Amino acid sequence: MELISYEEVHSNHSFKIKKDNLNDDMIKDISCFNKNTSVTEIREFLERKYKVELSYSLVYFHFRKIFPMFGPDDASTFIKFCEDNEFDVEKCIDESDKSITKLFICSKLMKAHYKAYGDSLIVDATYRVNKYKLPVVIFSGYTHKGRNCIFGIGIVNDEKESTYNWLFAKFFASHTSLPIFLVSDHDLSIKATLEKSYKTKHIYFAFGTLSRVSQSISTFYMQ
Amino acid sequence: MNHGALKTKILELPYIENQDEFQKTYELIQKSLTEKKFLKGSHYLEEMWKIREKWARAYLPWRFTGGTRTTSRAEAINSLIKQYVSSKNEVSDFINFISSFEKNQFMIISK
Repeated sequence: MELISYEEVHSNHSFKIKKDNLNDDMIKDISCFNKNTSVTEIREFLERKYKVELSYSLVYFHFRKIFPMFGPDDASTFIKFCEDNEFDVEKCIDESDKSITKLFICSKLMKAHYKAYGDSLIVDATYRVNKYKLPVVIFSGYTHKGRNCIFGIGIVNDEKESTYNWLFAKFFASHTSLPIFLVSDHDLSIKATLEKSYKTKHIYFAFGTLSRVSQSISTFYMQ
Repeated sequence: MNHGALKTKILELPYIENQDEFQKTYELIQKSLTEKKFLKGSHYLEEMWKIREKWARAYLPWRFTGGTRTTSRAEAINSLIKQYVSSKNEVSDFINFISSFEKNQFMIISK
């Protein structure tokens, strides 16, 4: 009597076998896919082709081996895009490992906006905009119709005093004229840079003038 | 002073236009905070008092601001960015969004 193998029994039925490792053929198939395809799609394709059951994490592990997350071409595509669309890009490069630490972007439209509506300026930073965990500083204001507009964007690696010094220097170098009024958060590093280097230049700066202060006092009161 | 009355007074504090009135209300709040042993709050208020010409309407000099008094406009732009770009995206996606934002804005102005 011939013994039927375990795999053959399951192939006759519609059951799928769980697999712990991928074959070389499977890895070849993954490399045929695009970089932007989702992992679930690839997993479904492999399961249908080889009639096995695969876990998401296993496929994801091999997918990321072939297409690494932090690709080397990200920064270069960024700068190439800026050059194609006539954006001005200012870079700050760390000399120890030659990586880009700070970026400042400014386009033609932003310059035109600043000429017309650059009397008052709002500076604010946000997080969770890219996967490198870099904060994005946005210089904004608004137009005569009450629409929001952006005057400049900075992508920096930290929020220290020196980085803000660099950012403000680049911003005022590209726009030439100075604003009359500047509003920002109660951010101590922004405050220190403005007090040190821009106090004599007829800018008056305030932070979150009315609503923010009252909010913070009320929260402290509740504690 | 009642808890609710104190809170409303604190919320009104930055909007007061007269300087003497501002000082009076500040002292009243500070007194009641120390009576109720809200030491953290009173310390914070003291710190804010030192830099009052940066946030209180009574001490702000007249300047042309175009109506900017808060950072809420910048916060609106931040929320708009976060609708399109998240912490999973790369920097090249971010610049794509910025260019599309600019084109959209230019269309509105040219109309």
